[in-house]
Amino acid sequence: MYLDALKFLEIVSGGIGIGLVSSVAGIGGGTLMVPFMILILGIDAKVAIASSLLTVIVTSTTSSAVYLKERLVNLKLALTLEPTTALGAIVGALITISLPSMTVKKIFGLGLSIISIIMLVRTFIRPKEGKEIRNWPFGIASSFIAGLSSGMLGIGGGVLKVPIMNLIMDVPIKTAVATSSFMIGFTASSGSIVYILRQLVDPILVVGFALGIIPGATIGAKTLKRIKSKYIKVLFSMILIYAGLRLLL
Amino acid sequence: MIYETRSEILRWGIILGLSVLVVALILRFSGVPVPQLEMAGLLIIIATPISFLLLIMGEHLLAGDRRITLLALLTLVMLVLSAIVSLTR
Repeated sequence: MYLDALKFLEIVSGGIGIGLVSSVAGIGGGTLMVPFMILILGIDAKVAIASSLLTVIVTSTTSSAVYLKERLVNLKLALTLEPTTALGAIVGALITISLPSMTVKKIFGLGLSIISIIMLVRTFIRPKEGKEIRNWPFGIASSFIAGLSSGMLGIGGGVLKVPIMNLIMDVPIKTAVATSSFMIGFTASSGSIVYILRQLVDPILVVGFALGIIPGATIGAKTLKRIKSKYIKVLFSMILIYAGLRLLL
Repeated sequence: MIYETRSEILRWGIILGLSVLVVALILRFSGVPVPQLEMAGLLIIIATPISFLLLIMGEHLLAGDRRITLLALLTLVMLVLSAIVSLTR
């Protein structure tokens, strides 16, 4: 009992830290949560991915409520891209549950390294203003990859969705971020159903991280505005590349 | 549209799911684990965006917007597919 309570406090503290970092670096919690669970808490890779995906629903749904109120979400865009994204998430989750945990850990390490490199490159690319949405077929097809990474790696997939929308489909960056956040709730739900029914989700992890990330992100957004987010993004991309390589090798 | 003005439904759904999970975890830490309550909390969290999707679908159906209704229905089909695949495999 006490061990559980202590573990819970450790998770909440980790969640606060992840919330602070994600709000400053402008990245989703999933990319930090899974390595934290595997490398620091010593949790099985499949349980970490499954629990992270459910926590992602909590955090993205909470923020998309704000984006909806501010009318920043493009509903037509979200619902056009979502079916293929959700399909990708289901396939990704099914791949993860069918593989041994050690292989999943290595795949996560590889995926995290690739995603961190994308994050690093994005830091130096100026977002497009965007006027008229174009490249719909390519956007729909590449959304499958974003969904696949979400279901397989336990992340929201915004790191892929936002560049697809902004750089390829010419969606304005604010709309891309808001629409991606809105979509993540559905994408993560598709993958999470697979994990919940296989009893791979640990409720302690979900509640602990959610209770830590939400206040952490709020505090981060209000107090750490002055920090140059570009340097933070570069620093955390490097840390994530290192974490990815540690999981891979 | 209601889903824009009533977007706090999403927040309340998540708060409800987390509250149920917190109660379930307090019971677990007190030595009375109730796995069904834990499962209920997780399912409420998943059901929140899905219910919102149904709200969007219903509203656009009533407004005669077939395109958005069909797209929302497609996403819903994917979510149902996910449950079916998980239960049968």
